[in-house]
Amino acid sequence: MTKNKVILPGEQVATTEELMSGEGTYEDNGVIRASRLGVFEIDTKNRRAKINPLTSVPVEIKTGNIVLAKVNSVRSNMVIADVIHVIGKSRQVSGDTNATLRVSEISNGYTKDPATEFSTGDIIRAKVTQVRPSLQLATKDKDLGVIKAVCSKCRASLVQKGNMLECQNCDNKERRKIAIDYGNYDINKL
Amino acid sequence: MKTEIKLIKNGKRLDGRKNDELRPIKIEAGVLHRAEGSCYLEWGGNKVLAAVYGPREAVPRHTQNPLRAIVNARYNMAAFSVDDRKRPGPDRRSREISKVISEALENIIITEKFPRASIDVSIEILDAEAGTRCAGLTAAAEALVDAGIPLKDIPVACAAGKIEGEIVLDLGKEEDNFGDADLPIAIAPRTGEILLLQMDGHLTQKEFDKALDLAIKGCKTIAELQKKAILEKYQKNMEG
Repeated sequence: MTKNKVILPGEQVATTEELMSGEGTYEDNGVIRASRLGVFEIDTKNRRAKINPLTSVPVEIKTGNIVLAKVNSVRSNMVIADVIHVIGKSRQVSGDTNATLRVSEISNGYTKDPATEFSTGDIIRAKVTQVRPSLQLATKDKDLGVIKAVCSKCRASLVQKGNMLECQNCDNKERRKIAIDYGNYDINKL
Repeated sequence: MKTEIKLIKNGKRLDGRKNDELRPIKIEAGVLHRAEGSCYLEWGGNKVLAAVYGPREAVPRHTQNPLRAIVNARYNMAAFSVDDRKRPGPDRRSREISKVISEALENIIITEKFPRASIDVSIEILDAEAGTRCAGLTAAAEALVDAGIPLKDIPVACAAGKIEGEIVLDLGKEEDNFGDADLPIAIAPRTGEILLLQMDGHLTQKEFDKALDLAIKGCKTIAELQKKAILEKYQKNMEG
C-alpha cells in the first residue's frame, strides 16, 4: 500500500491473516477495513492495523487518563462524580460519564470518611483506574484532588489557606483533598 | 386533481435532463465550527445543512442502551424552504423521515463502540425541491465521516421514479408532484446493502426492479462525489 494515501471508511486495509484489527479499523469476514478517515499504519510491535485519523475523533475514556469531574454525591465509603472532561482532548466525553471514587483511593493516608475530603459540587482532577465494567477514579497524587470548591454555607468560592480552604464571604473553614494547583488552574489550558 | 403537464418532451425531461441523469450536486464537508462534524450539500434546488454532535451521554437516561449507542437524526424543514410558508416544528412527515434516517444510519455506524451514548445528527433543509430525504441522508453521512465516527461504509441515498410510464432517476419537483411513483433508497455503496427503501405510488414488479437498479446506479455516482468532497478537505490539510 502506498504511503500517505488517505483511506476512507469501509476501505480494505489488510486481512486478518496478516494483522490484527487495531484503532480505527474493524473486522469483516476475514478482512480488516477502515472505520474512519485517515492514513493507514502498521503497528509493528503489536502487529496491528491502525488508521491515524485526519478528522477529530470521539473521546473514549481510557485507563490512566487524567480527567476533570464534578462531585455528585458523597457516600460513607465512596464519592460519585460525573466526568466532564478528559485532559488533552478537545471534544466532549462520549458515553458513560458516571464515575466512582472509593475511600481507599482518595489519598495516600487513611481516610475514614469521604465527607472530610470532598463535598458535592467540587470540581476534581482524578486519574482513571478502571473503565469497564464501571468507571473508577483515584486521587492518590499531589496534583490530583479538588481544583475548585465552593463554601457549603454560602456557595462563594473557597480560597486556599495552608492545608485548609477558607470562605472569604463568611469565614467558614473547610477541609478538602486539595490538588497542588488549587485555585490557579488555567481552565483554558485544558 | 391531475393537472396536465408534459413531463417528457422529445426524450428530454422538464429541466432538460435525460432519463438517467442526476441533478447537479455540490458537497462541502466541515462547514460548521461548533459541531463535531458537518456538511453543506446542494442537490439541484435542494440546500441542506447537516451537523453531527456526540457521541455523548444519552439523555434522558432511560433511552440509553448499555450495549450500544443510539442514533438520533432530526430532519427539519425551514419555514422558508418551500413556496408556501411551512409551519415550523416537527410534523408527521418530518418525524417519519427522522425515524427512517436514524434507522438507516444506525445500521452503518459501529454503535457497539459507544455504549450508553447518543449520536445526534441534525439535518436542516434550507431549500426544498423534491428528494430532500435523500439529500439529507447523503449530507448526514458526509458529516459523520467529518466527525470521525466509526462507520462500516459511507452511506448514500438517491431516488428513482416513474413519470409518464418511463422510469427516471432523481425526480425533480414537478416530476414528484405529477409523476406516477417515487422510490427513494439509501445504500452502503461498497456492499450494495439497502439501508432505506420507501415507495410512493405504484410500480409493477418489472418497473420496480428497473427503478431500483437505476437508483443504485445513481447512488454509486453520488458516492464518488461524496468521497471526492471529503478527500478534498482533508488531503489539503495533510499537504499544508
